[in-house]
Amino acid sequence: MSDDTQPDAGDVSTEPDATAEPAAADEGHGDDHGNHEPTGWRYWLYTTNHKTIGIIYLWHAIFFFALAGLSALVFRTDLALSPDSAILSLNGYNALMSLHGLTMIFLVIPPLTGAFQNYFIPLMIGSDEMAFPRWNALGAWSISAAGLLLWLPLLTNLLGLTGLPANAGWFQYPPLNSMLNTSGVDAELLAMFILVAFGSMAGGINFFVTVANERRPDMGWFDIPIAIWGFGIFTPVLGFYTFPWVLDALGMTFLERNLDMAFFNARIGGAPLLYQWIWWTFGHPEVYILVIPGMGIAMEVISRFSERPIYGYKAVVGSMAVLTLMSAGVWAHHMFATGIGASRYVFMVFSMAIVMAFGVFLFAAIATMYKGRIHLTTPVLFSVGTIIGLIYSGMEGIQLGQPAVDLELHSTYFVVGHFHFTLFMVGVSGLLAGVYYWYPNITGRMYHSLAGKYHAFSTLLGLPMLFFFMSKLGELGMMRRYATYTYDPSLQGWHVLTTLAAYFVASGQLVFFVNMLWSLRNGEEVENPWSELTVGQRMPSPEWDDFPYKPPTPTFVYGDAGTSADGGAASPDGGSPAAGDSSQRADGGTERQTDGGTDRRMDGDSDRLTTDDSTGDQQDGERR
Amino acid sequence: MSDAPDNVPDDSSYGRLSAALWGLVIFAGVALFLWDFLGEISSLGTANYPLVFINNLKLTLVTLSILGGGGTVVLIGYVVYRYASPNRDAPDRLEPGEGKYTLSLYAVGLVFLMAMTIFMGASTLAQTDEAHHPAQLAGTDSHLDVQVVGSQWIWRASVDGVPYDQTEEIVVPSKTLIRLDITSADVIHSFAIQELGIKKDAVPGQTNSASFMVADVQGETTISAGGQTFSADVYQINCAELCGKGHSKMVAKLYVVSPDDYAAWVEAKGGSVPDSMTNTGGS
Repeated sequence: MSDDTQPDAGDVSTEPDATAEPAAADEGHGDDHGNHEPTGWRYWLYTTNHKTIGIIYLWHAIFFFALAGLSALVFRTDLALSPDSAILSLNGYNALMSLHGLTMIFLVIPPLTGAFQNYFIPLMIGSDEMAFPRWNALGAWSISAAGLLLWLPLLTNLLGLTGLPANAGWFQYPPLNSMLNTSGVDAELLAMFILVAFGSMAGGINFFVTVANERRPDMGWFDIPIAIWGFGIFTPVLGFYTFPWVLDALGMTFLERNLDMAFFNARIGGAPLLYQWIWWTFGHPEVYILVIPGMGIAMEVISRFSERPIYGYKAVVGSMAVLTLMSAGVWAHHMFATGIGASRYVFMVFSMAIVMAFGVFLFAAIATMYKGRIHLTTPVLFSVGTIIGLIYSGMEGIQLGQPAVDLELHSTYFVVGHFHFTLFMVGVSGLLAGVYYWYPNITGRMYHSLAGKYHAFSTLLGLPMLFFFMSKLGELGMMRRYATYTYDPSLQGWHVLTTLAAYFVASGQLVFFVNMLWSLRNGEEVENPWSELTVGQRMPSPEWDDFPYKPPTPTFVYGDAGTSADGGAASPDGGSPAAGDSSQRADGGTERQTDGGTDRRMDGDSDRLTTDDSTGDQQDGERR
Repeated sequence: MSDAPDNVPDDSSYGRLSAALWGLVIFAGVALFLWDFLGEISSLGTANYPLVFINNLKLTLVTLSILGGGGTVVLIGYVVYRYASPNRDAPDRLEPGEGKYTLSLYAVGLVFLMAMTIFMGASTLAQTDEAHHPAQLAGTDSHLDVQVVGSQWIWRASVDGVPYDQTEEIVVPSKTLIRLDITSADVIHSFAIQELGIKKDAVPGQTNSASFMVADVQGETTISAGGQTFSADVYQINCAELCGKGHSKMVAKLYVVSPDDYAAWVEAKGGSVPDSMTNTGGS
């Protein structure tokens, strides 16, 4: 798409004016430039609207989630049917397994995060567009390009035209990867390069600059919603540091494969371990790039659906900051078996110490729920799954972080179970919580509630089954990335169980896909299904209720500032079901004038009013 | 907005039931990991080096996981049921600074536990995985050197005193520290005997070391050489790093026999037991 054909091109007015009235709640971004919007496919291809781009990201993510999930089912079935190859050839297994990993890690979780980054960063910080809208569009289409380059070799291979697609696993160690004689590997290296450079890196810069520079002037750093701290700040910032490393690793492998430049292949003078040092310097923080968005969303959802402000908002931000920082210092625990020397002690210490930051985060999440009033809706169930996933993943993680124990479990299915807990039960679950929470905001329709519940059920119950079965397989001696296990056919029973669990999980994801599509047309039309929980709990959220906004911390929510915040915004359009004097602190104190007496908890707030009155008014004055 | 579709179950009697169901779903996960982790603990008793040291650490970590991690999940399951909306009229207020002593205490406890695992982990690492430890650490006076070379997709073990390279079946003595020097001829492989806690990458252009000792032979199976039969234990050798097409077929068996049987076996194969196995006090 060139500038000539693009109606939106060249207008400086897409550069948002931070002081302007946020037009975020309105559909479309074309308010301040009168150019006609293209229609049809051109609308999607030429768009620079952050919402439309967010939706492009979302559908890419859902499509690749289905594709990579399906490929996992194929090779899981293959493993269950027979200890020897049943459906797939040995290399076919390797290829499908590699595509599954690469797709999930690069084409599912980051685009799903990107959907929220695009759609909700402007809405939640009060800017009307991204800082670099056209750059943003490039990022969205880089997912298509990467997906095509990654998966096309599979099709051409099935048609007998080319060799196999990439088949050296997602971290694709050379010299194996330099020596694989198939164009699929080169296509994959290019795919990842394009995606990381134009999608993840450029997109990350865009998201961070938007959050840093385009916020409403009255929104301080510690007024930023916790979900934005996750996917709008820590995720991109971590990316700035890590993505150059992976671009190095991919680029050097590409050059070694095609120009015989000796980087990693020992036969021509390269150093095999060099790749691993470079790769894991990216690879471990990448895991945190994948889970921090989900953690932030889970915290946001848990707070609102527990009717309680976030416990220790700043402590949570701090724990996420420490996680971001420390995640960059633990990477060599992936290399404990490679013969590295005394540095194992250092990386073991960091790997253990990072538990501290997770501990504070977990404490805050549980303390928010504890003594709250938790609405067990689909988003909150996935958020609880995220928190539990952190624990399961950590329980296996502390064993793997110890070099001595790691040597027994490294590269077995125990590791597979561990990182699937991390990536699926933490990363994907948190993002799925976001999908359900914000689905009505994006589409204006409610998803099918019962279908959502089944999805949550099959995920919350199925994932521990699936991944603990995998861990068990690992303890019994099943090696990772084995196409066959003829050396120990007695493992087949466990493989059958694992595959059954995988189908159980997949059934929920299938319901999810159908639900997303079906509800687009048939869901109940809603404006804000959660108004009872946002405005009603005096915890309005900007993407639903517009500005002004403060994060739901106790001093704010119960203080005077809280009342005025939702004063002018969307008011709850229904009475609270438990309206009345059910609060145990109902002492008939000062009533809030703005809520019309529907909120049960206002009765109990009088004790805070006196102390917070003055400061609250002052803040309020500043904000308006 | 009480009629929001997702809120419907909350205020009916079905709501309590569903809250209990979700609590049960969470507890099911606890049951699964207890089954998984208790299985790990039950297989801990061994006198083999280095597992004898590693298992102490593993026991600590697993116990910590069950109590700390499992306890937290149980707490979450309880909180999800107890404070679900059907069971609550209103949430308690969260006071500013509420629970900060609990949080401090929790953080201090966590620091203490992490420090404990760090010190235990460091000492275990020093005891187990430093290259070519004196054999005494494993509780023996003798050792045997083995050169392992991985190539697509076969393991070759050249054992000191044995006149040929062993591939699919590798025989070593018990009560002797087996010192492995591992390398690769092509791509990266990883020499793994999981039951013995051994895993070391075979990296081309680099030699990595690992050592292990099997304390006793139970006599699970037998091997024969030169008309004699020796009772032996068998352990699985795997490649633990993706090395191409035949990765999952790059396996071998390790047979462990008693030192006396080993001497007889080596002689039947036309070799001789090296000095390192008979010299006492040497390393």
